[in-house]
Amino acid sequence: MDGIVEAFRLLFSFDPEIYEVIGLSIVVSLIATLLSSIIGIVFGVVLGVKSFPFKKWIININYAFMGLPPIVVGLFVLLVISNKGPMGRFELLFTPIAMIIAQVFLVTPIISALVYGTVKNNGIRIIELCRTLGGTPIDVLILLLKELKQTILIAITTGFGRAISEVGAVMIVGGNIKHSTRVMTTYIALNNSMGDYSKSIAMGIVLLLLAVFVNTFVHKMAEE
Amino acid sequence: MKKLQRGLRLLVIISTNKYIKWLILVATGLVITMVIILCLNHTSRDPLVIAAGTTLENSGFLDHFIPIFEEAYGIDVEIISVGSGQAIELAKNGDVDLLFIHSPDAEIQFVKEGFGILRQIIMHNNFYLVGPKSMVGEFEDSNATSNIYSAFQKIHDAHLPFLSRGDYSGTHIKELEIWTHLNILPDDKTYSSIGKGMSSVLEMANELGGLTLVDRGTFLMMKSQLNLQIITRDDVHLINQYSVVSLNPSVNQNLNVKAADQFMNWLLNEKIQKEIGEFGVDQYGEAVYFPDGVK
Repeated sequence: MDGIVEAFRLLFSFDPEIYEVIGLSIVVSLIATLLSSIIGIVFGVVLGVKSFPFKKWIININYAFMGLPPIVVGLFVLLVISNKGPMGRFELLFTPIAMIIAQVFLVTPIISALVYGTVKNNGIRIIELCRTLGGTPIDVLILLLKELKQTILIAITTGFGRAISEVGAVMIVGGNIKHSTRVMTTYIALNNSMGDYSKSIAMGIVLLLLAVFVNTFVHKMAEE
Repeated sequence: MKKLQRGLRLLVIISTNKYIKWLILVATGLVITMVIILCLNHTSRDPLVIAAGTTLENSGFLDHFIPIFEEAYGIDVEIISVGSGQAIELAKNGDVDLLFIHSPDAEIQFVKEGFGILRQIIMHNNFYLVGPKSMVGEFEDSNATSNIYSAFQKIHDAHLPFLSRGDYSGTHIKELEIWTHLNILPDDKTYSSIGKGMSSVLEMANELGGLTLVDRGTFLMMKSQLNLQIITRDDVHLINQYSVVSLNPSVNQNLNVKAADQFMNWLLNEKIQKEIGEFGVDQYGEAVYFPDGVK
């Protein structure tokens, strides 16, 4: 397996393209995860606490959307932002923003479902306690986040993991353009297809380490 | 008064709360990053988006020539590397500014239908039928090594494993033309329709020990990693012609017509045409492409 030896050599060769690709992956997935977290947490809390018509439907749809195939999401976003689509005039196709949009669709249901699950079970207790002690809605939100932070952090990490590992959606809406929309997963796919295994393995190692590191770090933080 | 007090209380809570501070920090950082990305996306000069055949990327042609053009004209070029069939669809929708593919009939049809304005032939080379060493013996009789029709007939009669691009790319269309000429509908178990780019299919042919049609550029680029060799070389029927097609701005809005025209003219420039003819000589000892461009 001199592919692996070659891989390590490549990693330390300071090839700017590799750092570009890694950087873009992280930025895109991080932004997507942040946006998804904001939407997902708010949605999950509201879902767990308030009651409103069609709530059961919305919960089921939420769970169903957790299983959205990434490539189908990519296809859907493509149809919308393509020049001929309804949002064509924004020229978003083949840009990092399109990739962020696609990933937000994929990650938000995951975060909101996980947050909903934990708020449903523990949230009411916390909210009532907070209210009886005279807390404002902001206090309530802060306390909820504090008490449920372990689950919320797990939800965010899971979401990030999904965003950074997926390849179908970003390939379709991003186009894997060199220096522009090439991320770790599409880079691996391209080099694999060209038989350049050492480059794919190098990037695969980075992706693996990143995913593992993020998970470990966040869980350590959550445990404190 | 009460509202002011509440507001101030809120502010105090927000500014002293550990988690909110952390969240604000992260959020600010990300907003800054987002702004940077958005700025890069828009203030950077309007890019030229080209749908190019995968064979052009796989052969290294684009990696060599695009930076030269970008440098000379200060234009950012974005290459969408897809099969010619998909390229044409992207062009019809106006998702790209220019076509650079090798599917002559489809290109001519494209212009005829009003989607394209001008088709300029840039260069050509050949397709080869390649396969594993072990199969060379099968093609030795008859003139199968110099006539692709005989070769394909042989493949069909002897049920030899063949991998097809299957993606309506220029390469695939050429392959389909040959089958049509022979009145053969390949439906053998040994005929595989892959649906991927040239390098992927070549890789698979290598792994699986099958035959495939490949362009000269991709084959030369990947030859050293493969156990495949040229089985049939047909200079009459396997010509691979590359052209650039400019798009009709009245069909789609937001096209970067200026940059597209500049690129087209640049490729036809005498000096660049000469350089096209020299591409690959250092690496392979022979040219990869033969320039055909006439202004």
